[in-house]
Amino acid sequence: MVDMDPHQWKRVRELFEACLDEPESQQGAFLDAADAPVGVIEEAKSLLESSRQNLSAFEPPTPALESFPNLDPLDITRGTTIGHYTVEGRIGSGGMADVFVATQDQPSRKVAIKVMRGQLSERAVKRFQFESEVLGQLSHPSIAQVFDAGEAELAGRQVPFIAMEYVEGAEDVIHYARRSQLDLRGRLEVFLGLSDAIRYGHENGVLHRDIKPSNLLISKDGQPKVIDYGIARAENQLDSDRTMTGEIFGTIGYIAPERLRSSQRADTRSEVYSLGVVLFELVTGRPPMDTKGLSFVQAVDHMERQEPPRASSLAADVPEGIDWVCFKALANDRDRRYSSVAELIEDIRRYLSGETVLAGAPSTSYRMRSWLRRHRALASLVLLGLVGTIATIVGTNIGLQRAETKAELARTQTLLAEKATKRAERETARAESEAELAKTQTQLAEEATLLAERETIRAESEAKRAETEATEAKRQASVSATVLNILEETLKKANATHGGVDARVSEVLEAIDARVDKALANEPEIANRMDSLLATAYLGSRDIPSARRILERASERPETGTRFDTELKVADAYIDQLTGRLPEAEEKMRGLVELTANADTKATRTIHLDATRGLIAILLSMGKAKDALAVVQAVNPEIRSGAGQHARTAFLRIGCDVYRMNGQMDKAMESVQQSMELARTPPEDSYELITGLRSAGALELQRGRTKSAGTFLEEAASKSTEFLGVDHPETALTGVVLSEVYVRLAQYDRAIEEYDRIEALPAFGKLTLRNRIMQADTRAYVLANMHKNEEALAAAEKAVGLLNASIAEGDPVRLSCQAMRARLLIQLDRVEEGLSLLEELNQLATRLHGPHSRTAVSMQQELTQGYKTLGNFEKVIKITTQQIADLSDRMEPDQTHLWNARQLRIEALVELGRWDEAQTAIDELRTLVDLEKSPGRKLRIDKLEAITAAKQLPQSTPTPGASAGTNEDED
Amino acid sequence: MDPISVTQLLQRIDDGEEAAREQLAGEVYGELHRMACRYLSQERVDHTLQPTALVSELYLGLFRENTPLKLKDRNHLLTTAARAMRRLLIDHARSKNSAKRGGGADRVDLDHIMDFYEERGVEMLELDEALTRLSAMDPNLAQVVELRFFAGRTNAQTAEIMGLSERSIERAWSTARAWLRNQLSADSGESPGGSQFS
Repeated sequence: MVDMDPHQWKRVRELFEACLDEPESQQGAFLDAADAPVGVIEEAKSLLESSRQNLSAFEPPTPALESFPNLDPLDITRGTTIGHYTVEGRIGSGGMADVFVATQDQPSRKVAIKVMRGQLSERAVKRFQFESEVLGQLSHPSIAQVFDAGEAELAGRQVPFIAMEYVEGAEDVIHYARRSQLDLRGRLEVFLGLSDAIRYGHENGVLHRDIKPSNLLISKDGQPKVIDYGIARAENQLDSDRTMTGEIFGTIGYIAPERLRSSQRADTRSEVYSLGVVLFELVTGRPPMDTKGLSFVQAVDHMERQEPPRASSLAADVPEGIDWVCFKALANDRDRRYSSVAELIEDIRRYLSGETVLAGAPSTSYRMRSWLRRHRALASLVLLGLVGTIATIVGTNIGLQRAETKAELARTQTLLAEKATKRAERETARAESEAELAKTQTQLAEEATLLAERETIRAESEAKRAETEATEAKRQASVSATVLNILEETLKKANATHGGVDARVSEVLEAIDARVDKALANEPEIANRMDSLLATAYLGSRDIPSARRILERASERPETGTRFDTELKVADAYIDQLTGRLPEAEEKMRGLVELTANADTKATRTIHLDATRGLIAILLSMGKAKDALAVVQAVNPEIRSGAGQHARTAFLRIGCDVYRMNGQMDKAMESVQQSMELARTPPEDSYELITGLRSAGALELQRGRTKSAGTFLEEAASKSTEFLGVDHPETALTGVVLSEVYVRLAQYDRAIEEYDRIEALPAFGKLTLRNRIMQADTRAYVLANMHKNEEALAAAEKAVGLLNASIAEGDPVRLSCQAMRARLLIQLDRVEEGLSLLEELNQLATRLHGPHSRTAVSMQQELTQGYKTLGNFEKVIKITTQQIADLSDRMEPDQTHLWNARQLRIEALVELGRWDEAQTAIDELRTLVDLEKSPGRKLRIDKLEAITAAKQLPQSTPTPGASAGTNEDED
Repeated sequence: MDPISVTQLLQRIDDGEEAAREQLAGEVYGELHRMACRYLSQERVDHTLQPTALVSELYLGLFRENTPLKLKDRNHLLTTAARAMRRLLIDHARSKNSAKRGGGADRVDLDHIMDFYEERGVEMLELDEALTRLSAMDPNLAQVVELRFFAGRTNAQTAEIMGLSERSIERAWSTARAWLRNQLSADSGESPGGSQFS
């Protein structure tokens, strides 16, 4: 649309605004009759038409402050009256309010009165009053009551205030405990008193929202009092007048990380966190996170990265039970905290009465955690499975079902309440858009919102309670569950052998393994499930014999018709792959992919995707990159997106390898990046992240982006060491790939050092044969570059020695290490031997991959160089002539391979005195290759021609080996 | 940004120093951005932050010390803040469009603030483009939009800031909305009765 010039627009605007003064029904006619150019009238009419549509989109957000607040400090001194209260003195001042102690006549009492600075909009006042009304209904001995809230006239203007119960001689809980020198029990009891008030609030649908010591008081007669209940929220209705600097730094340590991080809604769990901080401070004397001196952003970052320290590490007298309670309350992930304050209280009571806390029964959880930390990827597989299995066993327990029904009911209520909230919010939004006309409506809708929100909190609280009951039922049922016994026994055994914290994965697995078969003789489904987990875990640590044994015993059980049967079969095919029986593995895996192709549940889709990934891995290790690509492309996208997160992550990662091997580098990068993104999504899938980083690194290496590869691989190496341990096959493999970076950077010493380190690890022996061969091959390459030819030959021979039937005849790895050996033989003056090997390889490569293939071409180059060294120019001519014939139909004449072949051929012809042929070849080369564009080549041709001419002279003696220069390196 | 330096900047603007005007704009923009991030990350209200509240907050942050401030300077500051708010939102919308991936916490936080407008179906970049054309035609009208829409000033406040009558602001605001409505529905190819703004 073309805009008008300002002058014309001015006329349109004047006309349009003039018509606004007319009654609405006559505005159109007014415009029609106006004395103005047609264009102007038309434009004004179009404005009129638009102005009659709904313009609410452009309404500014309703400002809460109708006018600029006057921020003069309030002139309040002893004797000033605020509403029914007479001020006696100032208690304190905050960024947005001043607090005074005041007296009231009817009833006669002392109150604390909080007076807001700044004025409120009418709407904010209403909302504020509604809020305080609800707060006023809370009645608990440990909650300082809100008596009254409203506005009072002060020096000619309205100031909002809240009158609350005055807590005489109040002291915050931390100072109180310190000054009274309370022992641990005393501190815990005080804490319980305060927590109970919070619990009471939750059960009545009110969150405190600002739990911190200065709001948790103890009166002079020892009564706990929670103040400012829910006022944080009411205060926020006041909109602007609140300090944003300073204050936050005082309380940031008490706010749950998720609220800082992502403005998550406050809920009972965020309050559990805040209480956890207070508890920690009470028992250790200092808060868990020292955020002093940090900027806001640094502080948030710090909280996010750091798990809180163990309370016992700061104060030696903190008992283990309380240590665990703090740990659980302060979990960074709110799902891992106590789900309600009631649970937190319950656990502390449990400690006080001498029972074991649920947060972490020291005999299992503590050991478990350290074990978990060491072997997270593997352990999570096993443990998730165990937990799931326990749930299956007890799933039939009637009490549980009842409890769950209740939980479900409560959840439904929560949902309904949430829906009501949403509806009410929508209502509010709608009403707001007609604000001027419908203030009352807005208010009603807002009240509905608040009520509905409260209902949500209440229902959530109820749901939590019901869930707690369900959990309790589960716990009781699980005591009898066989699996838990297995777990306990296992861990006890592990503890006994290794002082608890350092049990090796294999030992724990074996211990579980030993018990499963007997204990679950009558539960084939669960036994199969356990066994499929065990088999996978054994495979993960490359313990093939154990995995095989597990599968054998599982195969003796009847089929259960569940997905675990299929999972066992996947493990079986995987064993074939790992033991080099690739065709068998391929066939089995293909069968499983087909079998699960109609997957319609998440679990079966996951199996399908896993099997597909298995098939791809097998195809890749057979060198069938194209087939693998076809499999990737054939995956049903619906099944793919419906599979579990781990399966999707792993699939995307292997997709990277497939694309990479098919030369589709960008797609490969895209795939692996998606995979890593998924893997990083909490809960982090460390195992996949490590392999993803490694794939990305390998990809970047292949693309020649060494620096970027280094970044990926270094992260992979450090993560792998952290999560899997230094002596894990994955860690070793990552090390191998990382050393490739050093090779690229020509840091050969460093690479060799790394190889020595990795090869000395027991885990190295568990790498696939292919990986070990490639490792030896690369070592040979590095050593050759360091001019340590003898050592290099030894390495190359080691690589060749490892070859067996599982590495196919034409496999690039096979060819590569043999060619390396041949090359080194030639270097070490075993020329004949080397050349005959190369001949063999050349034939093989030509037969299997075609004469144009990279491998064939490079073999031929090696050969010609070798024969040239030997002075066998006939051979050189033979090979190069063949090469030229083979390559000419595929390559541009100026490609390096072809150029080198032609040049070599000419040199050989000259050496043999076949001048005419040499001259013809030179002429041919001049016409074929645009030498003007390549001065270096032109120079060489000129030189060749000169030599040819010189040698033709009868008196000249041919100088052996005189050539026009070395060949060009391959591109 | 502290009150004293702002007062000095305003003084320099009064003295006719053009560079000070730009410097003030830069400072105000930076402060709004910082405030948005800070405010949002510690936000205790479970509602979307009103962008306009930021402008008030900025104003209050500067003058809570009760610095005496000339009416003219105060108005200038608010006009600058309104303009800065607009730019902040546009910059954010733009970076959001160009970088679909990545971005830090900063971005997420500002998304939050954008929600306010996006919920209403206002496409920021389109609006900005239309406003730029409007100011070429009628700078005063564009300023009304900035103050009303981006700084959340009422008609009365806008009138005070711009030194016009409340009635004329009211009418100008009607014209501006009708014009924008016209432009944006034409640009988006929707019929005037389309759902975009309803």
